[in-house]
Amino acid sequence: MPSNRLTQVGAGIVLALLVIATFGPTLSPYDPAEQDLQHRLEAPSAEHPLGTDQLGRDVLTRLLHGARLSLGVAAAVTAVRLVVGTLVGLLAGYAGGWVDEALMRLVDTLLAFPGIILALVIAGILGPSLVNVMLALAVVGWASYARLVRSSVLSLREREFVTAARLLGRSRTHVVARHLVPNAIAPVVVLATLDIGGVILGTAGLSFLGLGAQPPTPEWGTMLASGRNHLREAWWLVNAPGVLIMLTVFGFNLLGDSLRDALSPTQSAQLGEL
Amino acid sequence: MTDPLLRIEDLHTQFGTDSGTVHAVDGVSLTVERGEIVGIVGESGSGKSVTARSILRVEDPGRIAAGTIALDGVDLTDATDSTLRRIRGDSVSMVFQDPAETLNPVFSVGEQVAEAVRIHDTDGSQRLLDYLNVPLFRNRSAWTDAHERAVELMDQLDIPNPEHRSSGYPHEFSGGIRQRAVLAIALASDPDLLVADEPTTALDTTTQAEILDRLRTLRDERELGILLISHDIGVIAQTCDRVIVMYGGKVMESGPVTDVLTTPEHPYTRALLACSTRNVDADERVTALEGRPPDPLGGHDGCPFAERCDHVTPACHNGDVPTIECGENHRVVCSEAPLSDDSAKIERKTETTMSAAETQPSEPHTEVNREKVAPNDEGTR
Amino acid sequence: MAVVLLGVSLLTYGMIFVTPGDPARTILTQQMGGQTPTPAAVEQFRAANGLDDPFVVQYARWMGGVVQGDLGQSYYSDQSVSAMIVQRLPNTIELAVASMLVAVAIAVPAGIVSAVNPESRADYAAQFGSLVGVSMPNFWLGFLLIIVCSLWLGIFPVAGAGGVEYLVLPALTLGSGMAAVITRLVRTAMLDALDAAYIQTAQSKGLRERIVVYKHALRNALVPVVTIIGLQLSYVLNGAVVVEVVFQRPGLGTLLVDAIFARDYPIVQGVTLLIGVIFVVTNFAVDLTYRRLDPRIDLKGDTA
Repeated sequence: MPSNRLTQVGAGIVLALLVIATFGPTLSPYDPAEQDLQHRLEAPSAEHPLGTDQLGRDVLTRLLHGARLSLGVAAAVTAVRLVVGTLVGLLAGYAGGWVDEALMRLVDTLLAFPGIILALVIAGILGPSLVNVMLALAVVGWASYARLVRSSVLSLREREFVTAARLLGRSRTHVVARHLVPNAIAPVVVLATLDIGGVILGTAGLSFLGLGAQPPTPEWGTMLASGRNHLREAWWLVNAPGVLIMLTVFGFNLLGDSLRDALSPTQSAQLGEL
Repeated sequence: MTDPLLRIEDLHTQFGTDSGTVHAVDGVSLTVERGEIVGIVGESGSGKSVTARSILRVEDPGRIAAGTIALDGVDLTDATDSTLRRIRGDSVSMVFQDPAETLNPVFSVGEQVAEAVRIHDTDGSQRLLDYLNVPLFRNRSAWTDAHERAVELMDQLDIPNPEHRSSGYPHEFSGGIRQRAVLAIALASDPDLLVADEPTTALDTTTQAEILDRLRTLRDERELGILLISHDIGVIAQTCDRVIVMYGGKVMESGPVTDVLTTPEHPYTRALLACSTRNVDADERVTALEGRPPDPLGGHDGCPFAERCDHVTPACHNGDVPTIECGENHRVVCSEAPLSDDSAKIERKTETTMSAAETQPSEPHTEVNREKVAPNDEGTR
Repeated sequence: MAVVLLGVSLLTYGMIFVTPGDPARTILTQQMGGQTPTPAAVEQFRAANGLDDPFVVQYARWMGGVVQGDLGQSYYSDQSVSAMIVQRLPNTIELAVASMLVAVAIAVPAGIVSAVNPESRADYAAQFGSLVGVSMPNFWLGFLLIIVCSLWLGIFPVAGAGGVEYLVLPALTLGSGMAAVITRLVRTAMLDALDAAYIQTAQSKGLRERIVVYKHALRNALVPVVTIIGLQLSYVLNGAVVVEVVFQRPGLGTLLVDAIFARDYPIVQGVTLLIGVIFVVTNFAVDLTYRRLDPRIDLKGDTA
């Protein structure tokens, strides 16, 4: 498969999802919370293209509403990871010394530990809710951004234009804001794109375990979890959200891969270290 | 007349790329006799290395589009895989440029030499499990013999303390020792022809001289035919009997080393010689020549050097370029050749260079080339 | 390494203290089914579990036990945390090993075929397959396998633990996801190795192509591959939690999830710490293997 076609496929999937998340809920014919116990667990039909769930709600409608939720959550978590990680990375890379040492130890520990388990524990202690899951995923996931930004800063701060700015007597904040951030940002954006898929999987996974969005919220992972009791008679209940989660993650991964290939060799080398 | 050891005729090796077919080797013909050292000289991109690789049929990802490569009269261009393996294991060996890269880092040097010995010793099948060193499937006594022979070979190549070194890994040795080990691998098959692609380029001058000296004694002891590829005219002058000058995938001039280097008849050979007396680096030399190297997509009419040549005539850009015989076995591919009486400065320069080499054969040619010449006091313009 | 371990232990133990609310009250509320506990009961619980002491004292007491193999007592069960872990651990190890085997069995051949025939159909199939595999939520894959293999075809039991038949589907679920990651890596490592100059040396010796690929190239490609396979343990443990829940296998993952919902903090702390330790130890083991596979490492270690 030529890589540019893969890029198009990835971008197409992501774009389609954004459209669904924006317009889907207004276009859907049913109310995602509307129960119809007369028509529970109905197989896909013209009326209900993806069938109904155990409370007679339209699965397609719920998935469309869930798209907004899932993408929103993923975007928010990734954004928090990115901002926190970037700030820590800038601080560590620019301050150096014991600050750098301490922060990087923390980063190493976080990176070494299985993220989902840590998030599971954090979210579990905070109590089951979507907000807590988001918080937990943000807490465990910023470390890779910090390491990436730090290594960018270290390689950039020795470059002429940064030295020149410093010699000109610019303040630290000025150097960081005007010179380091813009140059370190491209790999960070690529990492974020690659990361979104993981965040979506993580959110869905924790929700599946019962820690995230609580029913009747139409979150994909929660929907999948509630379908587990009806595997035999209603296979579409787990498979519809399953396919959607996979497609979403697939789209973002494709896009992230092609963005990474478009980076300069040094930048992708920094990404590769993670 | 019997067949020469190696006869290449009208070889075309090409690479398919996104922007078109690269004619890396574009109609090269040459021969190497037993006990003869033939040099190919040219700048990077001249196709000399691809020519060398084509002989062993390791030209991948290129492919041989036309021509014949006959070894003792047997054509290799359409040989089967097993014939090729036999030939590589018995008749032709190759030494590549950088011994840091050409030895496998995860196997001991002795193992790699012994492997070559085993390949040579076993006719026919090579069993994967035997070579993978899987205990029950490994022929212990054969490998012990091969290791002994490997140590012998390493000893013959002046690797000090070979028994101890054979269990060492490539990264533990200096470049010179590594290249000797690579030579040991090459000689393990007791070849008739050795193809050496820039074998000393990655080494310091002293080691370079030792290795080149070794090549000459090997030729004397074993009647070995050697094809030596180098960008360094000094190396060629010091080592070879005959030289072939390549440019843009084509042979520009060929003949006995003394003839070609004292009375170069091709404008490109002259330019090359003039540059080498300035004592510049290999890579710089390319830029030292005026103009751009030829379009790698090549495959067009005329002389590839026409763009940069100061003897260029309109005829050079089109049609076949004539081959002119201007001495015994000395041929020039140029419509303006022979260039007998111009560029007096270059004449003089090359004469001093060569006479030095002739009167003091033990003195490496590079020494002469190193004489201080102000960068701008001469040239090809 | 010791620093990382200490950090992990502090993190796991300290987490409960920084969370808002009184752990004793939360736990009792939960135990009593949502009723607000009496202040006396809370006091008693705190005293019984040593929750009144300052954090440092509690942490020191806990760590003192940990080094002797005592992880404390479950709030609910009579069993000690260590006993519960020991009981569940074999199931998780079994799953981890089996899925690693599945992953390696799929990924190494796929990666090699892919690298030896670049841009062939097989290569595209392997690349596409691994992209899909990386994107596949393993809880969904688990259900898919249950639906097809257990409910429709009836080959394997739906859930639980026991003989090999109980292991097949969970191992496939977890292993295929891992295989996706490893395939990509084997492919890149093999492509790098096949491109190296020593491959041409091996070819020009007259060695058979098979031996060139499986001896000279593969041995070099293994160096990074082994590292990543070792580091995939993170993936295994992450995934084991979910997969154990999907297949209702009694293992560390289900133990942890159950304890989290029950707010049985000693178990949560114990399991998390154990996972941290497993981690650090594996990284160390990977490092050792790496040194064995690549003779250059020792030298680098000396000079660096």
